[in-house]
Amino acid sequence: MKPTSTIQAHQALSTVSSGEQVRIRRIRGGHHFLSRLATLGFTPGAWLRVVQNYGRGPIIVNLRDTRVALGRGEAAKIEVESRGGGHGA
Amino acid sequence: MLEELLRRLAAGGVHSYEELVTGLSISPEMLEVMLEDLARLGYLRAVETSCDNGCHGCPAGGCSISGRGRLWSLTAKGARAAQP
Amino acid sequence: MAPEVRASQQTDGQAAVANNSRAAAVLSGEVTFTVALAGQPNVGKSTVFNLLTGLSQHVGNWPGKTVEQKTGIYRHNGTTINLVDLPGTYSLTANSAEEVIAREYIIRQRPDVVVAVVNAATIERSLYLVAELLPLPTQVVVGLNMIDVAADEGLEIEAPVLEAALGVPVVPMTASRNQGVRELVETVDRLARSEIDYRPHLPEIRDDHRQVLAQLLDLVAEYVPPVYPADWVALKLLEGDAEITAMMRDGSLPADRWDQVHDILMAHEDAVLAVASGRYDWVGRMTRAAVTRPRPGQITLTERLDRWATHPLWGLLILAGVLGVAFGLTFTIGTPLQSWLDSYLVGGLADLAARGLAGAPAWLQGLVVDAAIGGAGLVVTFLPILAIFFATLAFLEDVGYMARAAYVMDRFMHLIGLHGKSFMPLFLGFGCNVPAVVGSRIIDSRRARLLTILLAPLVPCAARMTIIVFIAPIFFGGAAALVAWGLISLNLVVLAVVGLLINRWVLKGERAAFIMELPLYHRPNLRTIAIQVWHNGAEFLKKAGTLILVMSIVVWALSTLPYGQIETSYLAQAGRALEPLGALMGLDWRMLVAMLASFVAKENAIATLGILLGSAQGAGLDVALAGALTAPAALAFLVAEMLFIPCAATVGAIRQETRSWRWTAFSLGLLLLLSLGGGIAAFQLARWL
Repeated sequence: MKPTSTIQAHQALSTVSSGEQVRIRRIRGGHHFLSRLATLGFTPGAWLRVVQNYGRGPIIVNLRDTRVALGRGEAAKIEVESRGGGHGA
Repeated sequence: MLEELLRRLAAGGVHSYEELVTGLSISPEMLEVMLEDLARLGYLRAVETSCDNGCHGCPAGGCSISGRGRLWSLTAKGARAAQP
Repeated sequence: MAPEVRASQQTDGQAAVANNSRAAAVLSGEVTFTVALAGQPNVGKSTVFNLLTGLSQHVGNWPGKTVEQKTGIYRHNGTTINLVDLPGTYSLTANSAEEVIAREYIIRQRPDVVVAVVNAATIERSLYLVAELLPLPTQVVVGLNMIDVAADEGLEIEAPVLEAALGVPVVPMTASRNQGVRELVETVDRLARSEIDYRPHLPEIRDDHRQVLAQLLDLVAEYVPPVYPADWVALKLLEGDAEITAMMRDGSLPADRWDQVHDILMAHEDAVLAVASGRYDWVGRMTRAAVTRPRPGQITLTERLDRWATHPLWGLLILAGVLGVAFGLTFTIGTPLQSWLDSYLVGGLADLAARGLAGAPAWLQGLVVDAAIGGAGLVVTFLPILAIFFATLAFLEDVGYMARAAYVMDRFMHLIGLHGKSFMPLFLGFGCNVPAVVGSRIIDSRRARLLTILLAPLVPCAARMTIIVFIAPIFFGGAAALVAWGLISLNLVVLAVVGLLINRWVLKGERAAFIMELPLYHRPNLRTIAIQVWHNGAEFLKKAGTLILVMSIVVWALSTLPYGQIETSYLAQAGRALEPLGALMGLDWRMLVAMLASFVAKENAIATLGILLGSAQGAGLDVALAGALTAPAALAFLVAEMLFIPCAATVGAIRQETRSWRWTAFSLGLLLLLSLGGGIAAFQLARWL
């Protein structure tokens, strides 16, 4: 799915375009997946900024001052949201 | 006429039949006759473009650069003859 | 012409034939002529001979030789004509027994007429023989045969014009249909009786050699055996004719005279070109006057396409476009396929193996899952990308475009000032560098050959291009094709510059020259292409299953020993030593090790990355790479990899073809320098942008 520039209430991380800042709302998946993401810093409530999203291939985000790369399939399972005047993470 | 041909070659590079035919104002058939003659005399060498043994598992689409065309190379003798 | 019995200077069958029949004719009061049939092979000479002589043919051998001799008789208006079929020859030089037989016969036996049978469809080639016949002591009639074939090809030859140009009678014929033969017989008859005004226009030696010829003639004229025309002998000497030279040197000329002649000949070793040129000029004049040539359809199409395809500028743009299309296809079809194979085949297999080996010792799990599947298996997923690439190459080759591509690249080099150098064999390097190195054998000059070998590793081979195809989309998304294209161009620019420098400084300007026949374009044969791709694919899989698998295991072993952790392994320790260098390019030790691993085979870079970045299970190498590198670092890696030392097979070929460790080492050193320099430059530049 191509990234869109307007951020809706419930949106998958994989559809967020480069440069946007979003907050993690919910992560879907099995226990193993959730714990793996947790070790990378992906927890509900965390802010992150999308560094690179080409619509194909890996997505790179900046989370807790670290650059992390995610597969598209994984990013699709992460629900994100933004608020009017978003805070930085 | 033959000297002109050799001189063009001695400048180096690759020449097509079309180029030579136009430049020397001769027919393609005449060019072929001249090339064969020069090869017989040792000024040119008809080059074997088939795959030498070196290309085991050659992944290129067939080793021959020129495909089905002929390739001639200027010999040392030819290079000498081209500069009087 | 009154029949005479000629005193022959040899006792051989040639004279016997002529003498016997003449003697018989004198006795019976008949007029007899001797006519010889000359011509190149495939001009229909035998047809003419058979038509004329029918059952009177007699087949034997030329005396003392194994070459077949055919003689026969025909009658015309009360005259008996002895017909001798001379061996078919392309010219009258002393290169073969046939040629010597033909010219010896004419010179010694002096037939009344020589009929030169000429193939109208290949008139220029045929006329070369006529150019050699005219100076001989006989009278020539040109039998312009096969005019039906010529007419089929749209070739028009005006016999009267040709006759006027040549100065000898020309009779158009189609011997296969028995047309023109009667006219030929009549013309021969009239010529034999000197009823035709015979004024041949002889070919002349090129102006700049006229004086030398005159000099030679002065020196030898008085010593030439009477049966030979002196000026012909002088010409043949200048031409370097073996038989005539031997004849004069060993028999006819006194020693001091020969020395003088020899000196002149040595000083003009290439005079043969002047002699031959004179003949070609003559042929050209004759045909320009009398021949009208058409243009068949297919040739025109090729010509029209080539006007663009071989243009130094447009042709290059077309080539760039073709390259772009090739990459485009690879990215749209190949990359997704590779990705799919990666997740499902490699990932799936890895998961399966992990579960299956759950109880097995850790090292076995690591060996199978990480090394074999994660390393070699990953490389196998590249098959779609390679297949598309090879299919494109094979398609272009089959259609006939590749020759143009090689030609145009060479022409472009000239356009940018690289005169004289020829990069022909380098073109093969696009598939694999090895044939480019080995292909340099077609270059005659050792120095030019060396230059080509040194430049071969700079041609981006298919394996290197697959690395680009894999890595570029991860970091550059849609611009990946542009980046790929740019990297290729960079390699070619470096190639041109390095070529220029090496040629000027190290090799002092030797040049290679080629003439390339650009064959007609034609329809691609899909079956051929498919077979080629299949063959290439099989070879690749074989390589993956052997060389790359072994290498993967080695890398894995070195990266897990001694403690089972990548970070503390032997490989890491060695790798970290290089880290300062890598930092200049934004690359950590794992990337550097991958680059080094590509020495064994370029594909190993991917396999090594797969093992070191731990990709078999989990997210996949593309994700791991995205996390490990920034875009400028990725660019640096690609630039460095493209310019890096070639795979071991290529290095082996370089060593073999140069036969010198010194040059091999020079090549490696040069490439190492270029590679690191390029990588560093790319990284710093990209960061700054």
